Amino acid sequence: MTTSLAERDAGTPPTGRGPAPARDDRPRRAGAWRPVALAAGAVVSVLAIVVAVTIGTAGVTLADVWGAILLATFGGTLQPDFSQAYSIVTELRLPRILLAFGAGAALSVAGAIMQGLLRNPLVSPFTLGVSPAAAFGAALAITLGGATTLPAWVIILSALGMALAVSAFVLSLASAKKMAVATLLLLGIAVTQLFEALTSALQFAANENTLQAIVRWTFGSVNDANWGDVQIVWIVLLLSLPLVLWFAKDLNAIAFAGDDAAKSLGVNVGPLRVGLIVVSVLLASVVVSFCGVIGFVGLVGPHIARLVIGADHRYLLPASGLAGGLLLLLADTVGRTVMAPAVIPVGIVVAFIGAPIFINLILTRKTALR
Amino acid sequence: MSLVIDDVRFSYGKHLVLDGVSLEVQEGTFCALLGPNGSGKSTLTKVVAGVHRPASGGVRFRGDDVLGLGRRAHARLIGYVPQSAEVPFDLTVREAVLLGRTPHFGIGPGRADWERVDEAIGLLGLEELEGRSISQLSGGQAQRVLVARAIAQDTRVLLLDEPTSALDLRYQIETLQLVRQITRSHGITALIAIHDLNHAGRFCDQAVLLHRGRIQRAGTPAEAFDEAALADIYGLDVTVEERDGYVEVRPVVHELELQR
Amino acid sequence: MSRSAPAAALGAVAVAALALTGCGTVVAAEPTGSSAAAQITVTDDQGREVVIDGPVERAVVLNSYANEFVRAIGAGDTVVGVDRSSLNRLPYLEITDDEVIAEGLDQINYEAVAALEPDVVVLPRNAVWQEAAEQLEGFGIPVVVATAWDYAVFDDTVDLLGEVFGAEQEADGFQAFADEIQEVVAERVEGLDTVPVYWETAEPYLTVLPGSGFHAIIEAAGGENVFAEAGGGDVQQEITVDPAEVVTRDPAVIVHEYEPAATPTEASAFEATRDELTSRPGWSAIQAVEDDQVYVANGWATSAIAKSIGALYLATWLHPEAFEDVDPDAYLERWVTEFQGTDFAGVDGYISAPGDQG
Repeated sequence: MTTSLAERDAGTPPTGRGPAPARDDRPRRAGAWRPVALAAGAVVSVLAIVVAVTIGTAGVTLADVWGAILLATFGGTLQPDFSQAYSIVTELRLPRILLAFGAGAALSVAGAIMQGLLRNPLVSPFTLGVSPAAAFGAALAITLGGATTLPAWVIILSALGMALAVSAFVLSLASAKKMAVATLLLLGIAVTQLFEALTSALQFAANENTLQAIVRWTFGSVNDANWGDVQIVWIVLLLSLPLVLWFAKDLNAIAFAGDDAAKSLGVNVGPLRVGLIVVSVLLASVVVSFCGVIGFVGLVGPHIARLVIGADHRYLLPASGLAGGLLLLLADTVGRTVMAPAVIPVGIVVAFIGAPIFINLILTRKTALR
Repeated sequence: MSLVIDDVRFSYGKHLVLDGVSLEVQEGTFCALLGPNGSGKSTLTKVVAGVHRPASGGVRFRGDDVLGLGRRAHARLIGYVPQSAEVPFDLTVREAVLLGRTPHFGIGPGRADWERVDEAIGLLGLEELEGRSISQLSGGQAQRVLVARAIAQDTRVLLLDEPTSALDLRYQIETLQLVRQITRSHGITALIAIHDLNHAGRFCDQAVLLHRGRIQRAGTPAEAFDEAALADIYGLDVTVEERDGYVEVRPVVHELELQR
Repeated sequence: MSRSAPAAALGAVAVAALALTGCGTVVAAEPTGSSAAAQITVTDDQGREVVIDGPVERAVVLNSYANEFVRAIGAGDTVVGVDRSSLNRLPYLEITDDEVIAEGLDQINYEAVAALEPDVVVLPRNAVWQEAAEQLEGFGIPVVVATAWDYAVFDDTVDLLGEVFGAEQEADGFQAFADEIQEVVAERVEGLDTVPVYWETAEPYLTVLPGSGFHAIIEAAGGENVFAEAGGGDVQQEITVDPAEVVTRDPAVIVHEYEPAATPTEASAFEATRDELTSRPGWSAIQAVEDDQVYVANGWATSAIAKSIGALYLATWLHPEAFEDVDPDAYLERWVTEFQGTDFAGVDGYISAPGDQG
């Protein structure tokens, strides 16, 4: 193989400018299937959401789901015999399913951004300690402010503030060590341990009422989903996606060529890095504020997406969103059916799915950790 | 019509790396930056490439200020091939070459961008590898992908930062031959930071000897390679002689005697 | 161009989702033939005013103590759903597996709750009551916080449950029974010297501090908690202590209480626990071990009626001479047969006093 190349190198004089004749028929071939794959993924996601709504302890048919959606969208009279199915669909199932999907998508997109920026497929909001820090921020706000009186945005802001502070801390320390993978992951472990201990300390000092509110943050769950949560998570997700897609080709340059080469390719590396990290941390913090710490999605979602659609961030970012959303939706559906009527928190189920994939990812990496 | 580097100063923190470097490279020629480790040759390519901002001094191309350009405009004028690039993700050769089009397209590449990519792939003989993941390539192949990326970038100036140091002899020669051909056929101005004096002497039109952030000698290789100057710069006695029309530098090996 | 497709797809999903939150106006048709309900308004454990469409005929009750209380006021037949932990502790509850709506006090399966169509959901303050109230609001199911494990609010809790279940008289009767036990203990221990007690809950070296119901029963029974002045307890005012400290504080009586379970404890389990306690390093020097004053109890007995039964038993162990005419077993049997409406398996399944074996 090498020989034939060398022969051609030696034998083929450099052509002048202008396209090589033989290639004219397929200049845009690469990646043409990817938008199709993304559209297919979106269709599958919508179908998965609809199917998931029909699955659960209380029997709800596809017709009930459709009827409930029509009624809720266009208004009308709710008949007494449909009342329970309607409430189950609109008050319980749809919010939790959309929250699970939105949270999975947000965490996965956050993970894909961080992996690209840090040029490292093993980082995620969770491994860098961002999620545990956000959980501590939320718990701290609850302890200081009381569980019942505090408006949701205070908890989110506290989670976001703590997460931003920690990511600034971890990344500045790591940049002093040239962002070595081992440094990043070890710092992430240290920060995770620290903030888990801090959250435990808060639990120790909390009263019963605050305690049950804090405990909700220590493992990921969407059991308390409501429409307010769904709205905020999806709004943040849908505002972030176009923004990061706009900079996807610049993210490509950083991820695939490195900082120096990216600069020479016309990318404003410094501001872009800070901006994208803020978006990524925001996505993760908002999810943690509503669902608690859900590990692995931010790591495994982008990994699955990359296997399917390739590494190009213009496609990888939306594909990661779909993969993460589907993963968390699947995990939650399993969690609320496998031991029904018991509900297993989605964070626990997703760890069972995610850990083996993560281990596989480490073992099959072509380059060793450095 | 030339690339002019004018009294450029640059320091990493307090360590002055470039101490007033001035240099002119004629358009369409191939210039070598030579010197021992830490002499500032790599840093100089990064300053011209826009990776580093100099503390003072200027870079002009065809009389226009280059450093004042926006990043994208700069990137459409000057391309850069780094030493080597480890890519932690699975990326096809074609996608890697497409990166060179980053300063040219908006959200997604258009037909013209893909044409440039295919052209660069053809120029470097990478057609059969274009669907391959770059993590599966040999060092020489990966280096050619980086050069192809810079070609696809379609710039008037090409900077190369020791692109051959990781390659075996055949790929070193091939890369240098290729860059020289591009300067000839496309009229591109190329500036290369390189260790091997003899390679520079064989393929480059101009040789610049840097030492401690200053230019010690510049000119054609035959003019620049002065025995006394080289001995001073490298701390090693050398002989310079002409062979087949090119200058050749050989170290004079004394008995082992470590300095200081 | 290539990026707009996924964004549009995501957008469509989101628009549909967000539309559900508030676009259409849904009017509930007048329920026909529903019994004109009498409204019950109660103020619960958290000071919330809760309106219930009474009378309560179907209730979901979380926490085993709350279920005991609901049975004690004669409303056990209205309970249609409980948590798994209640059913495990109280197998005599008339509840089947598909009426279990949560494992513990969080992760409540709200659709399972809704499917049971309860008139009210009762849960303690350490359950996710805010979340439950929010999630069940759409179904018109009121949530009442009643914390039956908290001995300090026993009277309020019994009153509250009496109101909720329309069983005020039965609640008074239950309270009278509790008062009777407390009086028997109080009048006999008055003026007696206190006895140092080490009380251990489910885990080794996990003891209790002031604020805990267990500390309260030590005081009520004429004892003195050897860790009364220690600080740093958790949310239940329990603390894991240094083993050496127990030896230093030299209690005269040691009690180890299991988690409550109506299923009688095997004699061998009691014995194994006693052996483990007395053979702990250094414990042979403790007075309680020397005098063979180590008791092991099943919390279903000793924590019953806000731990009143426990106080009675402890008082008889601390001051046997003052309680010669009192039979605590009779009170326990009355509680089980009269107030829980189940068979009494005999005291040996719940209390293990030092003389029992052999």
